[in-house]
Amino acid sequence: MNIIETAHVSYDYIRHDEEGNVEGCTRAVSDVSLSVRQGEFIAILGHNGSGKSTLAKHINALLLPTEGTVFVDGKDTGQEENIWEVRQSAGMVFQNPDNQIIGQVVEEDVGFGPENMGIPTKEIWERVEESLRAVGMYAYRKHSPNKLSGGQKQRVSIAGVLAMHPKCIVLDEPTAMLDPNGRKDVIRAARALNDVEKVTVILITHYMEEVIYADRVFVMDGGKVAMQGSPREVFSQVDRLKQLRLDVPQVTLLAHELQKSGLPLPDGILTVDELTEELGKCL
Amino acid sequence: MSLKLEHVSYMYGSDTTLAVRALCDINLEIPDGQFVGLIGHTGSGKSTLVQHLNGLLAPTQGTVTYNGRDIWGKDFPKKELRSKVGLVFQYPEHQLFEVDVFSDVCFGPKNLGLPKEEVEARAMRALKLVGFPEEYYKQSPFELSGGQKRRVAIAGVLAMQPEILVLDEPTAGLDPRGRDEILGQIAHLKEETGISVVLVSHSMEDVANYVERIIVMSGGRILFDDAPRKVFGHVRELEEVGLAAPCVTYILHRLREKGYLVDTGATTVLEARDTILEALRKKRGEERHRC
Repeated sequence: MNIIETAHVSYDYIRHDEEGNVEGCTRAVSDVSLSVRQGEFIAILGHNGSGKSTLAKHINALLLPTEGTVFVDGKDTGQEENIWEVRQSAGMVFQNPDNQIIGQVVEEDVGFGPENMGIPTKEIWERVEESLRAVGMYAYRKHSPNKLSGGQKQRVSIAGVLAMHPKCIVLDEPTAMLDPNGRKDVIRAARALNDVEKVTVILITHYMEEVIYADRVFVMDGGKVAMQGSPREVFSQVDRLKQLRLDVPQVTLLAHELQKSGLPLPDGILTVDELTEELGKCL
Repeated sequence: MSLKLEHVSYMYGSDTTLAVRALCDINLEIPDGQFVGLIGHTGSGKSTLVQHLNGLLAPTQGTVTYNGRDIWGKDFPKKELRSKVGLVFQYPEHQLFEVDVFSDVCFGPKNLGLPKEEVEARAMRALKLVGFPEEYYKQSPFELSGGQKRRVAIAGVLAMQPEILVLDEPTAGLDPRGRDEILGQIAHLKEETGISVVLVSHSMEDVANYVERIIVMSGGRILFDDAPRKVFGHVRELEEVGLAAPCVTYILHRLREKGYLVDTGATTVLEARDTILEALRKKRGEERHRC
């Protein structure tokens, strides 16, 4: 079953002058039709201004399409009565770890979402515990969020979304402000949600290394989906990605460079193991 | 020109019961025209260190000297130091505020009390150095893309004509091309003007590609201070303190385990390519020999 279904979605940002008259509009998303199956791990790539965050905000009805429709778990986000259900099915985590946490204590912060949904107290605590365990932050449940590192804060934010039992979670550049360890922990947590809890994950990122585990990759450019496919299919096209202001993982880039120097390597090598194996064949 | 830290320690809240030691016995010197990378996990003391470089924080112990003079000495012109050591904070575009790009860059030199012609000449030069297109000089800085805004913010610091430029994660949140453009421009700027650059970064690949010296911070101390290939040779120690080596370093180590005679000190993709090709050639030669 498709958890997300967008049909011909376009979105215009409208600029107003000081009197409130329309000054102009910018089409940020343009005629995007895509569907995501329940349980998939999706990555969205794209340069700054390509429309990927705008598209992502449609998935939990933070933005409503100017044209076209978005269905989340069978509910039309354009219908006002669906909004709360949509936001419960699709949670969102943003880039900056410092402006998504509101609680004084980690477990209170994670409990905020389910509390607002009117969940009975006993169940809230159960959810808080399982969510914190899922992201590996249970040991910190009594800590103050201020004292956590960026990566730990992001994992608390993810737990906060998870406690609402969403079917789908959208991560909008969750690792952009983190150090290498924080980045690894957050990505590990996201993959575990997908593998173990079967939550659909939509990851927006500028780090190409984080994408290689995805089931499918969408590349955005000028508000449209410019490329899509498995990570291997997408990363095979090194030059095309560079044109779109993107990159490929370093292993893939190294393989590409070796290929250009005349080694008979296949396109789209994604891991160190594949590279060593293929080099073995070149002897 | 040289900036020197000797036995610098710093405690946050040193006169309270909650004192936390953030820096411990730091010794380092930043000479003319060097491109230095500063890495360390969150909380390792990088930012505290950076704030010592232009006198935003005073060391609890030890001295900071600029051209041999103690910057915390009584008659030291601290205002001058702040224009000599320029700091670009994370997300500097949040600090833009003027009505157009050009005025924003003029703000710093104007506050130095320079004549108008000099202020404008400096702003012009700074914007050129960061590769900002002239047709947008009169545009509001808020209508620019993320990468362009960041250029304007960096130009604002350059217009002060610093001798040392310190950048705290100048590429956070930029797409890969934007990242390469900004870093390329900074490297070019360093060549052009001969200033020293200190780049604080979480990306080992970026550091490996651009700098000539890496300072690794951990627990408020300097763990390593050496050339990239030497620093990234300590893969295990780096991982222990929450860092990593560039991705290619791992590839080369793996190939070495498999018996390829690659140079594991290579830290960039092109260096790695060359050493792999070389190793393959050798290996082929060997096999032929055996036959």
